[in-house]
Amino acid sequence: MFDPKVHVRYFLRCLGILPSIYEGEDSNKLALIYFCVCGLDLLDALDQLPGKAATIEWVYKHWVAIDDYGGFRGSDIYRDTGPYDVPNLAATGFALQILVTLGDDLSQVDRNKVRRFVERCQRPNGSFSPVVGFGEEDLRYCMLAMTISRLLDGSAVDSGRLLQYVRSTLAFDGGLSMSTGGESHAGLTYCGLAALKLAGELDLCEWQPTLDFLVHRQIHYSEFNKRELENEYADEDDNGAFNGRVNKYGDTCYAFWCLAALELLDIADLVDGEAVKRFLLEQTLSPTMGGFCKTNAPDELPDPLHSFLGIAALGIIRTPGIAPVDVTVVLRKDRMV
Amino acid sequence: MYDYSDIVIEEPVEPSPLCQILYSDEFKQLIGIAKALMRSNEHSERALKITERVIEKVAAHYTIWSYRLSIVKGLQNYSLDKELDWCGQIAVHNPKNYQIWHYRSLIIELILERIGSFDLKQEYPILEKMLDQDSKNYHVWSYRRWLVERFNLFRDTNEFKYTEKMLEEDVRNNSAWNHRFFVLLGDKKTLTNDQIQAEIDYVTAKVDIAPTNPSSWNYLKGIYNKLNMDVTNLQPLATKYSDLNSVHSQYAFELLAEILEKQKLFEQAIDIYALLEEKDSIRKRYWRWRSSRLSF
Repeated sequence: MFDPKVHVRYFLRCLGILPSIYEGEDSNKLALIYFCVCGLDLLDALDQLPGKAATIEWVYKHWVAIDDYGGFRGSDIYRDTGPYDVPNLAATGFALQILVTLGDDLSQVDRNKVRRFVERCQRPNGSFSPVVGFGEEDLRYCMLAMTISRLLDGSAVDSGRLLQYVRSTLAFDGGLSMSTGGESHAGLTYCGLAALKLAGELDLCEWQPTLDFLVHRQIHYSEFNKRELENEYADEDDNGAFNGRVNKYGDTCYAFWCLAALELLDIADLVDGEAVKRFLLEQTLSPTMGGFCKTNAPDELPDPLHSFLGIAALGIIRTPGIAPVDVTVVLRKDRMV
Repeated sequence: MYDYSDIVIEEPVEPSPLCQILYSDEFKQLIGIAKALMRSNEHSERALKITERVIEKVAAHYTIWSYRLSIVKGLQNYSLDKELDWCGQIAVHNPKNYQIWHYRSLIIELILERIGSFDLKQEYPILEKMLDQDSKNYHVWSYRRWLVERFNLFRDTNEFKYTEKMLEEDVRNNSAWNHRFFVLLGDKKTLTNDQIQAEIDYVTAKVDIAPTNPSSWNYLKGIYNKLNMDVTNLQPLATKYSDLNSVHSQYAFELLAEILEKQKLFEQAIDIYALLEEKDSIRKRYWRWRSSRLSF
């Protein structure tokens, strides 16, 4: 049985005051808030969140415009740093997701400036960088750029070049990767497919090997392959879980990345929902603290990312008590108008 | 040490209504100095030191890295080799950090720009150290992939030997398999038949060591697909490991089904899918779906 109450308490606790050991998370603060706020939304508990208006106002304080483009900065520590106070795609995506979840109509966002920001982050090869002109390019930023575009009802992103780029990251075993020739990775595979879905460029026929890669991420030790348990990464308790790469252990977040990617292709029912539910509820859920841990290792504590993605994964396989999630923009399904 | 007494530290970090972090005085002081230096874009040794301290605290700070690069470029006498050593120390303490390896590649580009050449030998110790810590570290392998591309190390003996060593230690190290694939086939060059055969022999021997290991089967199929070779040639190997009364492998059955599909032997393929449905029950709906899509 899934009991939402303990997880509501977990998210509310994470949204409270954090001790100074969280200083290192400063740049990820908007992400942390998004995980917790959207987690509460999926648990139908947003009414228990205090200070929504103050939060909306605070998120808008992250706005930064440069010339003709603008977006959100990652944290207050970037403010007033002259040439280094620039918007970031991840922060902009998380800020918009928080605002939409809290019921803001985005009327204070200068949509054209954000659209120009997203367009300027696109590189000639079709990929996106985290800030204009600097930083590593990969599929995470493609997904974020397209999420932002969708939340703002469109932008002039070149979807043809985006498709070319996503194709270029296809690994020999069907998964998508960091760059041409990189190792297939379920999280990046989700990001690439989500970006294409949002760009209207996702066609199941083209992605059969990717589908094969995704369904094989569900871990199954049986009579058929019991020799694999000799592998130091293998753990019989991972049965039903998803891993992110071939021959890796099961991890809560890949339940979401894989189920969501399959849902984008409208075929999430090709894997075993009951088995992954058992793994999440029995192996990584923290019954005392609430939330979910990354893996079933005994020394782990739950964290907001794995808690949110664990719950969102359970939402995809229709667990009672969890609202379904829109797997393109990763918000509660009825949040987007 | 450096003197920062001339810097006026302005407003403290604003409190936030949610996830309010109780920053230590040390953190506030450090960020205050960093912000003032960034605002004036100061290129100095003391600024370099501050970027290091910020990175140690908040490695995901996305513009401190571009500020550091700008300082390094601005300080003409600052040794870029020293900067690479620094990168190595930061990487060892932040094994999951994305930015550090990208930054390292930018420093190498800068060395190439200034000196015209770069001695790759200095890269191997840090890569080995990182992969000894975590033999599947995604960022480190991605960086090694970049080196192969940037310095044209396709079919380089050293790279091959390294993947062989890693696969010797753990034949299931998918990152090592992937790297080998890129080293072998990542450019547009055509391989000789001998080269191809040698590689197929290599991976087949690895299949024999661990027939239930998916990495080696994927690698083998990957080579066939990439080189447009006829996968039905793998039938003897697939058959060898699809005998339920002897050592067998799910991946051999999967490959056999694929071969039978290619040969339009659909009824036999359906039998294999039925077996997969029974034995690999977690994916039973997938195997049923695959079976239902066979067109007679």
